Amino acid sequence: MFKKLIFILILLPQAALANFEFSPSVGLYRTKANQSFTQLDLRLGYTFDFGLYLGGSYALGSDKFVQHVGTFYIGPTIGYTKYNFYGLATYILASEQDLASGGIKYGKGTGYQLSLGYRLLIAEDTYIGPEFSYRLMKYDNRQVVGLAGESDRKDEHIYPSITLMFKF
Amino acid sequence: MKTFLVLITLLALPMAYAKEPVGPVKAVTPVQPVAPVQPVAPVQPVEPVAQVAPAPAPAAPTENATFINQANMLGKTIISPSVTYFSRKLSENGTMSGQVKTLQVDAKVGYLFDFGLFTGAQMVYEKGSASNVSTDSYYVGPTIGYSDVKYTGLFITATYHLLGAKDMSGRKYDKINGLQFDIGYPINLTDKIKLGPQLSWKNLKYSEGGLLADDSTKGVTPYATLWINF
Repeated sequence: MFKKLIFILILLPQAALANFEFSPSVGLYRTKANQSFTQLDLRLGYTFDFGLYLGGSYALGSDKFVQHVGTFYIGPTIGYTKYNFYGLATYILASEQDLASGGIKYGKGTGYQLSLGYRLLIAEDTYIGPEFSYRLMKYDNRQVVGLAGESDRKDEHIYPSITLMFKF
Repeated sequence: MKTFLVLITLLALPMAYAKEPVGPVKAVTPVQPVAPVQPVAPVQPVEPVAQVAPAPAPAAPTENATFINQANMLGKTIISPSVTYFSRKLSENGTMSGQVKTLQVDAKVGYLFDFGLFTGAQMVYEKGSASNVSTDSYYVGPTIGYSDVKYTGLFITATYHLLGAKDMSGRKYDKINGLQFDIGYPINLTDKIKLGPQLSWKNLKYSEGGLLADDSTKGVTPYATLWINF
């Protein structure tokens, strides 16, 4: 009952002033043809008037630094926005990495991602901003040409992005 | 009695019509023409002003202000530091498989003319490591560009790097040349400082002892950039 009251008295009135957000974020770092990192992170969420952000993230990309892999990540996101600065934390529930050669696939990936950015209003309900992210992933499964086995693989990234945000 | 009333009514009607002619007198009165005075009365047009007033939408100005205040950068000296960082660390079963770290700091210094032209110079510093090879490099060159600062914060600059040096774990390159294009969109954080994203494209070649080395950089990188005016 108490929780319902909190929802009705606090969250519901805020909802009237809040909005949904769609944020495609492009992570990019390329120094040579065989050294590049590219990622597209699609976020959809809801920002309350007091700055709280709740949503989800789906990202996919490739990385040729150290080892050439293709990856996807998916997970729920919580964040906070104040004075146009924002911080996001995503718990990654599912992820896989495919190596470009050798037919090796890493699965059962879990981890988290922290992102910090600053958003700038460039048009009505449209923002753009620089963002830096830290991500730590752990993969517990390894498949070599279909044969599965245990794995203890850790992949850690810090990368820059340019993020767009659309309110609707 | 009823007939009396009917008669009275019937008589009264013509009387009423008879009073109509008196009306014309009123019609004749030039008071009607005074009516045109009403349109002359500019009080009505004032109403629209009253309608403009409700536009005060006090919330919007704070956001619009970011656009309006952009022009305060014009005709001033600008220093623009930009930074980006990338790292990847990969390990399996507790053993390090590989690690890459790169830090890039760019700094533009120049003058932004009233009509948006930017002229100056840019220096780039890079520090990185990959597979036990560490790299330190810097390069400098003249910069020219344009900023649409009066209306947005958008800027585009081109730099031709003429001077520089690179040290790759003892192997030294004494000549660097190449192009760099930057496009960015910084917006006011305060009156003197702007912050925003920047995307840089670089194509550089490194020479060693006068011979063209096979090492080069060709890439695209996002930055966080500041524009500070003096």
